[in-house]
Amino acid sequence: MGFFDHLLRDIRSVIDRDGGQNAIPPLDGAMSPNDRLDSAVPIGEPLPGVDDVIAAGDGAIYVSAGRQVLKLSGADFATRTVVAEFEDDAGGLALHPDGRLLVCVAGRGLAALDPAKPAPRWLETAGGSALTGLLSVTAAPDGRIYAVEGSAGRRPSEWRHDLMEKRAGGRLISCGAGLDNAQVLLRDLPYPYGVIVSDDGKSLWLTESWAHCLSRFAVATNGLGPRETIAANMPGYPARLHPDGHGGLLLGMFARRTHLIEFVLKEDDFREEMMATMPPEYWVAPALVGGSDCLEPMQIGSVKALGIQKPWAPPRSYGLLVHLDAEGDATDSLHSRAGGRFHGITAACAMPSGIVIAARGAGRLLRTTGDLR
Amino acid sequence: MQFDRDENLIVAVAGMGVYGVAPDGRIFKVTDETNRTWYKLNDDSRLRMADDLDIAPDGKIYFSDCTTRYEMTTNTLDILEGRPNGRVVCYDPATKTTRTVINHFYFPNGICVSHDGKSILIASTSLCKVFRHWIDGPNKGKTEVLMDQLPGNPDNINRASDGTYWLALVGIRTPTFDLAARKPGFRLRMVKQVPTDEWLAPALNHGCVLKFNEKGEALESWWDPTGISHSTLTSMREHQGYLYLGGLENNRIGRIKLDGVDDSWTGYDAYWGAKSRVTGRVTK
Repeated sequence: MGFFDHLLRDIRSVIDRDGGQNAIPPLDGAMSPNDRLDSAVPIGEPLPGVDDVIAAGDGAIYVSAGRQVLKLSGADFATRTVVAEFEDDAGGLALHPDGRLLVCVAGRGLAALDPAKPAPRWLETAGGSALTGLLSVTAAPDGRIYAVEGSAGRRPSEWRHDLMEKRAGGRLISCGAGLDNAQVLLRDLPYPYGVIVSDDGKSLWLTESWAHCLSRFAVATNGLGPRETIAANMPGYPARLHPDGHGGLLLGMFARRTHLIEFVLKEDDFREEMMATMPPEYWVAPALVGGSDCLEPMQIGSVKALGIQKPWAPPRSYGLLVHLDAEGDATDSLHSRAGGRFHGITAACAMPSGIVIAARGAGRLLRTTGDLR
Repeated sequence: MQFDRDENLIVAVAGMGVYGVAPDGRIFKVTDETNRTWYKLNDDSRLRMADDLDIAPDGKIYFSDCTTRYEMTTNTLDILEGRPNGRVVCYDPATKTTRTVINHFYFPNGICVSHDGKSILIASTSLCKVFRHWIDGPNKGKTEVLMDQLPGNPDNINRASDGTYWLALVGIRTPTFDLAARKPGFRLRMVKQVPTDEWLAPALNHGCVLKFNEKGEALESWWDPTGISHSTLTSMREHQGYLYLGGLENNRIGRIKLDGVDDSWTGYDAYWGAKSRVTGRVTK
């Protein structure tokens, strides 16, 4: 960045206070830090690559982990059965009102699994391009299916590249219940990650990770209404949304924003050379898990003193699950802070026995039974 | 710290200089200033951050003054600045004078007199190198690189019982910190725009001690990859078959049992012969 870039940025920060370069908000109010995620109970053995979790409707849960979709049922979800295995990573899940299971498959598209038929039905293109990077899917009460692709043509595993290249190539698509008539509702979004349609089918909620925001759209018969930004400049990168069972939402945040990452995003010269010369896991970029590899970037406040990393240290990775009320306001949150165990929360779903949380960074499925505000 | 021939414990004290503790517990000042750099407007004669020292066979105390711009609490700024603000200084007890031996050195840290007493080894924390500076023999006065491209930032150096040396790595080089080290503008803007505790640093949560020989070849290494027991490992000393460890952020001393070493070896005897109060002939 040259001198004039800095000058322009300073001028912009005065005349456009709500512009893109807002300071990262502190965690306070409903987002006040705690250790409640660390005290959640892991469910069974580790599930490497665990990504999404939804209620199956019969007291069981569907979980995507690696290339598999599993059904966990029984007491304490101890019985694991493989529902489907794909040739690539399975991501977002949704249960269609007609009973089919919808699965986002990296590099391929959207699969609809009918319990009665062995072969899945596929949606592989929308708007003339392949659905390579689907992250989340949801079905409206009328059967219409909505899905988000984080970055058009880019696989979900390359999410770090997408942020550090400062891309905004995500899409919101929709299709009919039969995976037909696919259309692109929104394009050029900064990594849309989570999508959900409210129970009454009248509004659609959308998170965009690189814009750190949560938006709501009215659902009309011929598309979407105008965007209503519910929460902007969030302290982390929002991931998937699932209902909390009482009209609110559970929002996973897969990483916290840090001042260093925001700074590196402004430093084009450093950022480009970093991306060109080192593997992504060593970049100054968000991480789902961290702290064990000595080649990872480290921030000076993260130094272990007397054997522990301070919970308020700048986090390499973080665990954060936010509870939103029906209006989208945060009312409660569960944290696993720096030095904690369960980081990289990508999804959570409400079950009668508690909230089941997918901690992708830790590769664990967790259950917490405490009440949420 | 190092014991001198008379069993005074000579200590480098950041912010003060070099001090001694006599066997009876009396504390005395050895030196707190060196010669001023003649062309500097800013008087740099006062020792800013004496870091490590060692004592040559002739009694001269060689020590590192790792930065002349910062203090103990701000020395990370010196690493981020990456300029040769430090110096290697020598106190001569015969003349009671202190003179700068090498000026403009990149964060000199560990100092160790070689086993033959003819050179001193100097660890440069910010350059990730170990230098050898000859204090005797045909090469006297010359400085050469002994170890280059270390995987981490070296801290203290001490003698090992088998004629080799111990070296502590306080931080491990990360690809991003190396890249930042090549971009001074990036570092300057980071220091100005990013809060202090969020600055990029080398990996400080991975304690490492390694052993190297006179040729500068690394022979073996010991790690604490979790950083739980020994993060920011800066010091180690071999004593009677054990290697004792200490770091900046800990309230503990660790030790490792060393196999196949001389269990009677002590640092004092290696420097001054077997004549300490405990083992030698000067028993009091």
